[in-house]
Amino acid sequence: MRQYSWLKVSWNANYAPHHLPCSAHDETTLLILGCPSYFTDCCVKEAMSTYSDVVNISSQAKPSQIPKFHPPNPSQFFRDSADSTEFRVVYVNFNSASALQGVLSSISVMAKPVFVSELKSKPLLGLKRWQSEQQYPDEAQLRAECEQYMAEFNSREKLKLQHEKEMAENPDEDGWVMVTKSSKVCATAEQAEERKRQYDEKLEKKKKEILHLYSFQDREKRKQSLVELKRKFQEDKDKISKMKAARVFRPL
Amino acid sequence: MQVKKKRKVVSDDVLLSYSRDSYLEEQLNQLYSSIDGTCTSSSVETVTSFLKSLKATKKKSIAEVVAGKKKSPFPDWLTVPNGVFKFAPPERVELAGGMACGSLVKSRSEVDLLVLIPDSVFQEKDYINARYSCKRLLYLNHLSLKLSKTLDIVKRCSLVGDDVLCQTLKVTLNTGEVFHLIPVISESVFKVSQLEADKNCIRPAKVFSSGSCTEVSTPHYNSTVVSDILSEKILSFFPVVAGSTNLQKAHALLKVWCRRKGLVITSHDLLVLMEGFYSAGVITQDTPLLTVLKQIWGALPGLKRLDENQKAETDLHTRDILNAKESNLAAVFTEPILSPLQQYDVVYTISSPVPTERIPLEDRLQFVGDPVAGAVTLIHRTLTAAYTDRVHRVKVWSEGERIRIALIINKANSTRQIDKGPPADDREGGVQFRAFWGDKSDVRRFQDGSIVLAVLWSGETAGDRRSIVNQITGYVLERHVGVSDVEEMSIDTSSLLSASWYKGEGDEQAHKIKSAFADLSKILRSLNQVPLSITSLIATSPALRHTQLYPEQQYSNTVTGRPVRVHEIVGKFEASGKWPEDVRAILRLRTAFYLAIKEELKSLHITAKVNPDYLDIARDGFIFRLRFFVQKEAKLRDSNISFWQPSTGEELRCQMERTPYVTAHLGSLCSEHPAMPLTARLLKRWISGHHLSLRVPELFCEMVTAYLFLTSEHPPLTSTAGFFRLLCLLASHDWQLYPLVLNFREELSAELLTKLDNFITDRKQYPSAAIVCPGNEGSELTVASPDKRTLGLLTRLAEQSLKHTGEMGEIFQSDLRSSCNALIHLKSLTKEVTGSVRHHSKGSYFPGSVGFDPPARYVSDLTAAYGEMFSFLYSEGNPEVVGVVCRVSGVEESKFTVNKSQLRCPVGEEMMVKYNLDAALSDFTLLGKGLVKSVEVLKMDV
Repeated sequence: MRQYSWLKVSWNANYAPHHLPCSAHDETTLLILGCPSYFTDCCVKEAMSTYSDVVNISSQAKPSQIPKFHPPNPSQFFRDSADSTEFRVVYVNFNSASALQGVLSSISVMAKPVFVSELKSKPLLGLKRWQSEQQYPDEAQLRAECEQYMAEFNSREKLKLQHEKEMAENPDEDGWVMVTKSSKVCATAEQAEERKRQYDEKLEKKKKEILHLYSFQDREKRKQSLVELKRKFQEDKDKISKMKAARVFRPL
Repeated sequence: MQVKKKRKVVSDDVLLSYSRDSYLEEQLNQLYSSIDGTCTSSSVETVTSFLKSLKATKKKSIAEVVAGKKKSPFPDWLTVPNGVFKFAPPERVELAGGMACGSLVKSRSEVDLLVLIPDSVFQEKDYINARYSCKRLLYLNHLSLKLSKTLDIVKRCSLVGDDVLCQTLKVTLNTGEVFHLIPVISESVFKVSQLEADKNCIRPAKVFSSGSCTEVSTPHYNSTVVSDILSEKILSFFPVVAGSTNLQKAHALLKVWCRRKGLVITSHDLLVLMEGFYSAGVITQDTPLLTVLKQIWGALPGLKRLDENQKAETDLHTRDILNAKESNLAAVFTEPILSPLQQYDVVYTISSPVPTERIPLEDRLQFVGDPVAGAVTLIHRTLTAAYTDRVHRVKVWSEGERIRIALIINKANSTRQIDKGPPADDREGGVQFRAFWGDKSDVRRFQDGSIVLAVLWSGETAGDRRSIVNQITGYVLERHVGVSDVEEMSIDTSSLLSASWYKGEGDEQAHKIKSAFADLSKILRSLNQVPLSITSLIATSPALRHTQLYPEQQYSNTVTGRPVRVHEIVGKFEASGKWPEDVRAILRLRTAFYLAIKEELKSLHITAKVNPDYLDIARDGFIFRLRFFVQKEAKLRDSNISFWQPSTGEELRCQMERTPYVTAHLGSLCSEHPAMPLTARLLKRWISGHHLSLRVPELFCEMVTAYLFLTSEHPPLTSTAGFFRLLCLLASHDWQLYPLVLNFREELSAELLTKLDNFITDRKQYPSAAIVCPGNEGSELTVASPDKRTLGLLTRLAEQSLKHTGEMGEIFQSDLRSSCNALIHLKSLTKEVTGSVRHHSKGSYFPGSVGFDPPARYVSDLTAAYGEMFSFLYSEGNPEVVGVVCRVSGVEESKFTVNKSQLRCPVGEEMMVKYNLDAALSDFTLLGKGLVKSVEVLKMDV
């Protein structure tokens, strides 16, 4: 069984502390369970940085075998997911195994809780937090961010398309051609003509195929389709009459 | 000679009807198997032999007998007639009813005994002036005294039946068995020809000492005497029923039906009717069950013993069942028995006695002077004449001294303000009309040029128009019956649902917001500088359906202390293939659209504010929050669920696609049923009163209300009736076994409906509260809440509330202190909530803070963090106190596991942990910093 050390976290000395079980997830990653919402990722990073350099940090609702370290979201207006006050698990990645061991031993001998209010990155709480969320952003900045992101996105997409096109046109060393979305776009006019011809042939073949050998089969099919059409018509009629009956004229 | 058989041509219709009948027969057989009861009563012999062994008494005058009794069976109003009474033991005691026919019903194993009073007890003219009825009463009273005093096995005896003329004696034994002694007389006592309906058998001068009056026929009294005459035919009919399973089943089912419908028809009455059909050859022992039932149902309203009021009621019930769809036939027997408050739209109570001089003589004569029965007939007749086509059904009945009136209202006409009478030149009609309506009637000229007598009722507001039936009842009863204290048994919606910023129920506010939305949606659709046109705009806010608990007020430039709420609108752009294949890009692009729309609205002098996720638009004093749904975004979020947790594609689809679809249907249902919005609001108010506002979503309340209105054969027309029926639904619905299916406009596919028939096998696929409707086929909208615990709580609360319908105000509130472990007291934030109203150019206002509700936000934050360990009780109506119910113990220790790591603290060395409730209590203050005044711990194992 894993060995756990207990990290004490509190807002300040006036509030009862939380006891967070900490353990080594792998050689370089520290797992902190049951983090309260006010001990944010930034706070964890700041608190842990006093012991060793933090490489990466990630938090999720439940522990998993492989922690997911997502790319950071630099936007000041757009969030990837809604903020939640749920308890979460945090994975802190250090640069070496010895650093992690050092952190764990420091936690186990730590007498005083980590006071979040003393950290630089302390979050807003309660009314102030809700009020800050309530603010409408500055429109000029918002517009600028949207435009900048879209410009970058478009150029990225253009490059991606170009790259895919190249891959589709040029076989690699072994003679394989990468099949991508843009493979549909034909490299040359001859290829396009050839494809068109193949498609037409396929259609022609389908037309010539005999579906029904005997004429009565065709007749039956026609009859069936007629019955089906009549049934649908009747259903629609009923539906419309019901809708009409349900309508009530109610002037204000 | 060989006869060639003629080929029988059976049309499809006949075949269909055959199959339907056999299906119904099967249904009825199933029902019977669930009510079939047995009685192995050895006490029948004992009671019978005891009755026969009673000794005769000496002749005494009736007045003497009555005076000698300590407890007289005679009511005060009954004049004691002249004549003599002499008790003689019953000539015969015959087993009757279910016991004799083998058609006992499980829950009511009661034995009917026909007690034949010997001819010697009566004189030839006893049928005149109710002397027969008096002697009948004395006879039963004598039996009652002897049985209770002499026979050890008898627990108690009582006379039962509202109508004194046809009471029976109920004998309860120590074993719990019940005997009904029904007095009968032989055919030779009176001449039946003297008791025909058009004959007068009660001389007013004798019964009422007040002077001479004209003699009118007394059909009700006469029929009660006739119905006591025992025919030999009925005795020989019992073995016939006992020998036919169909007749037995029919008798048992009819008994159950009459009891469920609250009809006064007895088991013996039913057998008499069946015997009539049997002797006429209409039914035989082999007649199918359904045919027998239909015959009896058809004949029930014609039962002679019933008075006009009862006949009308029986007629309506039988008509209902004869016209019921086959699918509803079983429901008639299995649905819970509804109280008058649930069954009828309006119920009134008259507590003070009706002045006797107001009751016409003919009404009093029918009931031998019973003032209450006479008043009931008078009230029924008067109200029926006054309501005309406003009301489908009027029921008047007495409960002891009190009289109750119940109405089923006609939706189309109940709010009509004018009652037209005869033309002004019709003298005779005019006199009658004026006599009935008095000062209220007036000559009026109408738009079509007609000049007629008419009555105008006040109806300035929607609330006034809803109360027109009440106005009529009060006026007519005071004028014609002399009763002024008519109390309506209804929930006082105007005080429960009112707030300081609007009058009454707030209908006018709802209309204002509706027209503001209609106006705005017209403007938005016509915008032409936005690259994609707006194709659809659906308001999901309950205010637009008038189902918001407290209707919204228009904000003004004064600080009112109420948060300015936003009304959600979900919009769609025209289809386009150019949306990027990336969620982050879609978010930015959509915000760019919001900015473009804002710019164009600005040019039209409409104020709007942009947030990355939505656009807030101010219109006519309301704030509308517009969000656009892009189909591709949901698909992209689905493809990478872990990254977008918790804002997954399905969550987005629920908010932006399913909710608008369902709310659009709810909106149209609300406009179809005028009582639905108020009913839904009462349910929300009830839930809020029990501090469950945030645990039961508003949409859930509305969908449950919609189910009631969609599936009722007679949808309720008042909020009181609707609300009590809703409580009945909540108390009786088993969420584990059945889903609520709302088939709006029958859009659900046949396959889905068949699948729902086997709901139990797929139970795990659905959330605790399974509500299936078009657009919500998998009950996705109730996945998050309410949970199983909340549903259980709702069921228990509904059961409790139904028991206390007498105190209607009480059921809308509960005490937090008695049920909570801690209370969180919150500050009242006036300034922070509303902010200052900013004045924009061109006369447009925009409030400083919109959609900001700190208490609700605080409680949802607490629930997200501590929902597994605590329940938070919050009420929209009283947001300054939040109740906390602790579901865990702070002293109990357990072994540490990764899953049990939240809010725990270590105990000792062995990795044992316990709940850290101190930290939780600290967090309650911390998470609501600036809002929480104090946390009061009442009882908690900390």
